[in-house]
Amino acid sequence: MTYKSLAYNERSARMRLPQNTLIVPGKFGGFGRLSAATAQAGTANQGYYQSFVQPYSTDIISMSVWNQTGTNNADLGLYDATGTLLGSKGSTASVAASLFTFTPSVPIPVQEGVMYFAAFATAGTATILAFSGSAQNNPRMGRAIQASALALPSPATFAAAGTTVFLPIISIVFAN
Amino acid sequence: MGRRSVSDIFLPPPRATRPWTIIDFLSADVCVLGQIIALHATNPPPATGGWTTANTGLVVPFVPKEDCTVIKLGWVNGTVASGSSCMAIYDSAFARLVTTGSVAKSGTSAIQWTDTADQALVRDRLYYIGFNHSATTATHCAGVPTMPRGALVMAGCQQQAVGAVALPDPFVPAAISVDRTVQSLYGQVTAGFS
Repeated sequence: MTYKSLAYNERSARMRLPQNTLIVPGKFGGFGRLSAATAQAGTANQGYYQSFVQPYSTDIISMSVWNQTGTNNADLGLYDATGTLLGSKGSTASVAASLFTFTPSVPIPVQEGVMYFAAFATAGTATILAFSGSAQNNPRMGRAIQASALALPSPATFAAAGTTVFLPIISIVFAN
Repeated sequence: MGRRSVSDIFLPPPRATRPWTIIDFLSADVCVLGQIIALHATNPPPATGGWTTANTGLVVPFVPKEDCTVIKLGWVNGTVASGSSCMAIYDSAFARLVTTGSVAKSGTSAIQWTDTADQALVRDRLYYIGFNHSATTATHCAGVPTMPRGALVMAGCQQQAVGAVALPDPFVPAAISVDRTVQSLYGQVTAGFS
């Protein structure tokens, strides 16, 4: 009996990501093309939740969105599937033409195959790099929203995204 | 015939040896920018678009999924093939590993390969693929005609106003300052890249 197969299986099990970075919403959620990526403003004080399935067990070391123009308070964070807040930046002023980044003081552990929600909330003035959701795309992408969610609340109360357009692009960087 | 083990039955056969294959440096499998491109609706392959700023090089980070050796680098020309282009691979510290040098564009709507020195790439290691063009008028098969500046920054791209088409060694990275076209970039590789 040979055990050469073990190395093969270990490599196959791990869905490797370039630079340990997952773009949400992303290909790895199984979605096709959405829209042009453009700078858009969200609705004031609304929280936007985007589900994703963690491709492998690791720690989250940062999350970012791109603030194209304007400045306002915003928040970035991570929830589990039940709406429990696992970590967030807290309501913080953003800066135009720069990344708005949440770097948790302690990396947040995430488990392979488990669904999480990446969350962003905005005061609604600044424009953020985003795709455009639609009534048809929002359900299949596992999106949710919540009014009066700046700073991101604990726990979240997920509401259907309906025809919500603003779909912020969030990059999530893993430890390895 | 000897007794067969479980692994003989259920494991796939050894990968067939192939003389070479192609890596798409902007695919979502190897490139963060590719993850965004894959969702970008104004991504009509093949599209044709001009280079954003003449003699300003762009580097895009990528991570090979397998060990491989690059033997050629190439791009796809658009409907106008004029001027010169340059393509290069850099390591994570922006030291140049291999380059095509300045190459006169030739052949409209055709892939244009350049033989390079053989360059080994190690899987799971960070590299940058670089491209530059001498003018804004010649067109390329751009995977996305224009990518927003924010997407390029999020993906770790950098630029340099080189002042010439040949990509320098080292590349001196500067922050992306404008929305930019992104060129489809390919490599011919050997040794098991899949």
